[in-house]
Amino acid sequence: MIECRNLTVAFQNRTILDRISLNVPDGAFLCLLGQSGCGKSTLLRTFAGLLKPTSGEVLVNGRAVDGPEAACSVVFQDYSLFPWMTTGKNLMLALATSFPEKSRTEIRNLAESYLEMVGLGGVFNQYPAALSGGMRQRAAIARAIATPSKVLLMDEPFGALDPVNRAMLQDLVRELHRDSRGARTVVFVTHDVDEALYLGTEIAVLGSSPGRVIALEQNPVSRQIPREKLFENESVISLQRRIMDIYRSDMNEKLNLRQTFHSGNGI
Amino acid sequence: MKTLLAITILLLEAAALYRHDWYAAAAGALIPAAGLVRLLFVWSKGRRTAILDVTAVLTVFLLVWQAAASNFRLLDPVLFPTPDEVIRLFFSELKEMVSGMFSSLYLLGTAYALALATAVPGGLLVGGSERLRNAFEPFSKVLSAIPPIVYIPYAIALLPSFSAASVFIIWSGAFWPVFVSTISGVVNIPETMLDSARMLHLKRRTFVFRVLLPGAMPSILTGASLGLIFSFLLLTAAELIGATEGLGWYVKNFSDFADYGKVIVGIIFIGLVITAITAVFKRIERYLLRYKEAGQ
Repeated sequence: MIECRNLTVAFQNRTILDRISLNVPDGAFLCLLGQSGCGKSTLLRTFAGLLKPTSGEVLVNGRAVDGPEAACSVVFQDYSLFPWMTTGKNLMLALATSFPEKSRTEIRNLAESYLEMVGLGGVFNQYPAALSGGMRQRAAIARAIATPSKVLLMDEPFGALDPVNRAMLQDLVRELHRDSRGARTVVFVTHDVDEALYLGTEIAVLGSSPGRVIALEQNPVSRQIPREKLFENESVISLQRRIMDIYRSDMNEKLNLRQTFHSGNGI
Repeated sequence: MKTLLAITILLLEAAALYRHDWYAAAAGALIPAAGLVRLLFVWSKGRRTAILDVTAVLTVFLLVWQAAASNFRLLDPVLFPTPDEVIRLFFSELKEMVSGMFSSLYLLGTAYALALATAVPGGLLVGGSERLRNAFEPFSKVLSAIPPIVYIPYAIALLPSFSAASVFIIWSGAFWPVFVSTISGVVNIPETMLDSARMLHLKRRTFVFRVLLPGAMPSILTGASLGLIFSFLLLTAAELIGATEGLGWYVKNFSDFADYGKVIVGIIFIGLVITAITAVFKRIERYLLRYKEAGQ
């Protein structure tokens, strides 16, 4: 459970996030949707405790977040793995920190089994540089789910992948979340509406400058529908239309703002 | 195979010069030289013939030198000893030069190890904190800009022994490039990578040795190789000024006696030693950064 109350983040007098209040219930898959620069990554980093809010607070499982939050693990778009360690060693490092009581062999076996779980059986001894972008993200996901943290935060994890890899990894994340049977909460940042519709059980749309929640939608049906039938479903289609409208009006607002600026009417 | 051929040609050439057998020497130089000339006209093969080409350049150089210094007396015999003499001296002086090398390497090794042992931890500490970084920046800017050679007379006066003085000077030359590059190495670790590390809740020790140090390593090695070059420079400079043994002293000592054959031999030997050390350093560097080659 993530609760976020009146969260405001500002850098040098520029407000990035403006009084955001948002609850993510246990076991939910929340997609944070918004244009680039709207502050969705900032919100995620505040959840993780990597960023201190200017005001307001974030509670994870009832406890206020202060510093890097132990209950959360993060997958970034890039640089999640340490390039100077083999993929296996990357997982072992995370596991050894989470389970200091386990022996080295146990840690090694665990790392191997998590790599197998994401379809990376034979890459234990390979350096991340030798893996493709998709494989690297798989390994990063394996490392994130290997730790006992209940909340998985993903910051545009598939943004740099080709369409085929992107679809395969979306399936993987959807499956992992389904298999956890509500034990794992996921917050997933994306700017891709279709990705959010496919993955999210809840979708929050963030408006830009300053970032605030402009819509919060439930998406309970899409989980029962396979990918190829997703956009044949009535309720998914109407949700897609609604979100697109909100998205578009936010973008128009921003563009109008620019126009007044250029014509000088605003000054 | 080509390496073997090159070594054979060089040995034969050296032997011919040594025995004043000019025809053999000329013939020995002509074989690889012919290959080189051919290369100039037929541009092909590239790297595969490189070692033979090097041999060609070297043998021709030796032959020209021999001819100019000895046969045609174009060069002053005191300032320019003939190659056969240099070759003879090289082997007869080898024992003394090797002992000089150990004395030099002892100083160099101590000072360089000391520089790494202070600059890397110091750089990690200072680089990891913005406040310390800002506090140290003006000092490292001014102090690293001072050529350490200017410390030499003062250090010799100040410190009890020559070896202490030269260790200090070499240290001060190697310290700054390593220190500055360690700081910039830490600063340039991508923020997401550090965030990743923060979310793993690593112990302080693990964070320093498994994240901070390897993350800064490429930059540290750049600084360390620069520091090594400075070390050689300062070592020989210090030895020229105040030593009683060592490679730099060897060259200086025989210059004073106008024994230029030994001076040349000493210079060649210094070149070989530094080349060997640099090669070892490159090997270590490649090993430490082997993860970068995985993607190619």
